[in-house]
Amino acid sequence: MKRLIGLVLSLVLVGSLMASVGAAAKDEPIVIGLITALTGPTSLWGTQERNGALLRAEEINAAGGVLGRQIKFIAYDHKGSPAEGVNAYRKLVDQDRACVVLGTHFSNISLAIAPIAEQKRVPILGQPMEPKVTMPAPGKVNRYSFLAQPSCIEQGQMMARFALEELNAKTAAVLTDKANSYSTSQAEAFRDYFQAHGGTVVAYIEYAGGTVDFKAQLTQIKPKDPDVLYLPQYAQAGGMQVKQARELGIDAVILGSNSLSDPPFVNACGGIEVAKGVHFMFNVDFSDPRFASFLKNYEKRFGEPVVTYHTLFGYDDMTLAVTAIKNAGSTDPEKIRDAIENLKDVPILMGDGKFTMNPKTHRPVNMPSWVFRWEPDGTRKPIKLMYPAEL
Amino acid sequence: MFFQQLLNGISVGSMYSLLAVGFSLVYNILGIVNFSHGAMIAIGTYLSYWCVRYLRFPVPLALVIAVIGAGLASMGTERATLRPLRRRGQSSVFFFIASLTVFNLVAALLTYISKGNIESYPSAFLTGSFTFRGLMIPRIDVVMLVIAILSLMCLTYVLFRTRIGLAIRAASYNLKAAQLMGINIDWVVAGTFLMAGLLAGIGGSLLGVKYAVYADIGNMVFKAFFSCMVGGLGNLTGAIWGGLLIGLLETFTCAYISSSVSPAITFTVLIVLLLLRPQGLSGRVTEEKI
Amino acid sequence: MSFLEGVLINVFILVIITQGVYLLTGMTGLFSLGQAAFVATGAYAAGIVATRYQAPFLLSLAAGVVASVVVSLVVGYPSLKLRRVHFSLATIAFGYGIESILNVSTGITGGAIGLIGIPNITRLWHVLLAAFLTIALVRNFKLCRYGRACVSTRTDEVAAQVYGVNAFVTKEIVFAFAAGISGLAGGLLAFYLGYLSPDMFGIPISAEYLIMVFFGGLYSQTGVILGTIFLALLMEMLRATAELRMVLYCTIILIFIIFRPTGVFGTWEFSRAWLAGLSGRAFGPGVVKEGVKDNGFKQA
Repeated sequence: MKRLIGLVLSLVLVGSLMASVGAAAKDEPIVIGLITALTGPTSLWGTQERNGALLRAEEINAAGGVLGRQIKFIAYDHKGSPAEGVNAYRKLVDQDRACVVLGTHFSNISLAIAPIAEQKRVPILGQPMEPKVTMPAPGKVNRYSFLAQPSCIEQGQMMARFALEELNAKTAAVLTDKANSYSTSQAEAFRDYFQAHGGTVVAYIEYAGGTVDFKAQLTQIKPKDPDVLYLPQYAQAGGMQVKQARELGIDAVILGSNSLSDPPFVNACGGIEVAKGVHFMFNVDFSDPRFASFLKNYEKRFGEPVVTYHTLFGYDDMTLAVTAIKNAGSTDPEKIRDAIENLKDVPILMGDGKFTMNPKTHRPVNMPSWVFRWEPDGTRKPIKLMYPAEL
Repeated sequence: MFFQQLLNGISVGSMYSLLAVGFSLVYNILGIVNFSHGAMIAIGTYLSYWCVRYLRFPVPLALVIAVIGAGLASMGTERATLRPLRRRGQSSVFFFIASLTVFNLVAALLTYISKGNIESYPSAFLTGSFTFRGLMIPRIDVVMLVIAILSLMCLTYVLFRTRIGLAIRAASYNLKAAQLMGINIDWVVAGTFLMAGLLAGIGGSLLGVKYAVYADIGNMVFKAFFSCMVGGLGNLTGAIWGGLLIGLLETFTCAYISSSVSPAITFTVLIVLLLLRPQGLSGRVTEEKI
Repeated sequence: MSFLEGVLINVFILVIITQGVYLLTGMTGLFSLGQAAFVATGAYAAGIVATRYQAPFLLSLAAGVVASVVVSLVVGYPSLKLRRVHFSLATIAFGYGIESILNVSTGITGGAIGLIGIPNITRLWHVLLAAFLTIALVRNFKLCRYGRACVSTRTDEVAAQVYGVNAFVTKEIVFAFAAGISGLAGGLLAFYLGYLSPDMFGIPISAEYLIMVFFGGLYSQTGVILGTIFLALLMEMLRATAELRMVLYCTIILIFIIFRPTGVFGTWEFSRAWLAGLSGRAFGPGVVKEGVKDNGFKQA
């Protein structure tokens, strides 16, 4: 009997897999998909990104939609796995008939989706920081993949420039996760730029993925006494490293990547007492009035404050996608692709508030980032706006 | 620097030891590799954190609640998944999937409940360190060491000075003979899982304070597994030595060879060690019974 | 390629992999927590041969299989001499080792960024054919002399040796066979995804394979196949449940385990005899023999 139930259940599973949506009619909603992590260790980022995009979609729908049609927003989980991400992309395109897909903020998953997108010819626009997502080789562009923030190489270089020019640092130490492309790419960019412009990298330590105790690595850094310690990390590892570095008495100025911009990072440090003084890269100015109203709307909609900056990714990606649909005047993915490529001066929250796509690289043109500092009272103080073009 | 690294190694190693003792309790007595131990570690971490954060309990009380909670959860897991197998006279290998699934389920549930957030104890609890002859000793490490020693003393007392301890030890020599002597095996197995869960609860709570509170913290169980195996069958001190050895090996390979391949080197060394000494560090040599 | 085809390719690649795990764990009683590392070996070998030397599809797949088998012989020689539980430990170490090597050798494997630019060649019929061949091979292996030797070593290694079975050689053969199957699956995966990264093959993935094998029935080849298909499809179906996905997935497995602790299918095998008797019976296999006892558990 149980086996019979099992069999029926699996038949139902297969059946519902095969069910597909019919062709889209004129008055049907426009489907925009998002691929993100809704489960697993990075699910916080994914749910924040989804909420941001959902908020923007609802705002646009309330204002009458786009091309006179409503937006139907669908978010699928990728569990942090490239194969799952590819499945989610195919499901969005084949079953849900999405005309543009948002995501992902994982370079590894976007790298897997990029060649599939070339075959399926539906554009994917997101925040993977690895430049190879849009340009697999120098001079070659993936037609259907787009990145909407400075690449990890630009972010690493901007941080190195900040250390050299604003902090007058002469020596730097770098700690990087060898199993994480986000971390290694930024660390290499930082190291190369820092050395090429007169600084000395006194320690460049790579560690294996999954490490939680960094004292062995940090103890090696301590006697070198660097001016700055660069930690391009996810919030959890970054927080633990800052905490352990302070426990070992390392007093260098700590610089970090954009993942160190959120309360989870401060939590992983064990409190603002430890996290204070850490500099990090961030895509938006927290004191910007437009940002404040975004925060207020978000809290009203979801009943809780914004936790991580990924809400902005979702929100701005949705703005860009809808603007592209409006500019294209159609839901034909090919026309939307052309429109994304030619986006110009679109008002968004990130950067300096204007977004222009570079058709040659499929990355934004000179999109700036702020360097912020965690203050003892738990606020984030803007220190300097950095432009990639100044590099 | 060498002594600081030594200290770091002992700090990590003693944490592995604490986690490994509970793991090796079940392994030594029942011959079961119990990955649900990782789930109990995570439950301990979160229970004590929630008690401090939301119920505003004092830390010792939170610790007690977390430890009891993890112990009960461990017993519940045994009741729901292992006992049916024993009742049917099935091999314990089938418990493997149950323990792995419980491990995955608890991680998924905690991710869902905590929304994947990383959390920490309010007001920088037990952070900072003091200096002793140029060495930096984190406060939490000292507290951990004291609690670990206390809990191991309690465990030794229970195993060697109480009736249930006697029953457990008898069962660990020969389960069938113990049963013939009138020992209630159900109670022995449940008691073993309870004690393992209590130890996991202590370990988990301390991990949350030492590092941070996050849903995947139970992954530490793999280190406990290694420590237990390297330590060897026979007695609980083996797991302690195993944990310390792994902690020191990891730290020194990071410090003097290469940090990015340190796990690979560490584990290769351990496998070579097991090839040379199959009974483990302090295990007794057992001939295979025919 | 449509969504459905993509899903089915994933499912049947998993079916191939779990056949290897079934050989190791179900038939021989060896727990490998590093099987994903063999998939990685096969996938990377195939991917590197294809991208660097423009090798054709079949040759690359063969390279993947050969690489996996060679690595398994090197790894198996010391680790199979260990006790069974230490063997699991050795496979974990191997898993970490492969992950480290893939991450560190940036010049060859692309490191953490991954290996890009593998052509998308794999189609559903390739995978179905490979799955069918694998299943047939494993079934025949099970019935041949070596397969019986495997089952006897699982049940009682000492007794098997008394009867003239060389337990070490038997285990070595099975280990290499399973690695070859994993390597084939890895090659197909590489040409399906077109992208590989080291984090796709961690220890949790190996544990996932074991769960799939146990779920259907550790000692039943039919059970392993159907269990894998069911769980892989279930995971895909639960995509719509967003944050609850993993919670539901694990809960469903746990419910099955509580009611059928030895796997959904126990030791039942699909056979012609069963099919012939089907017309005279109610649906489903009749009496299910419970799993074979081994002496791993000191319990009456």
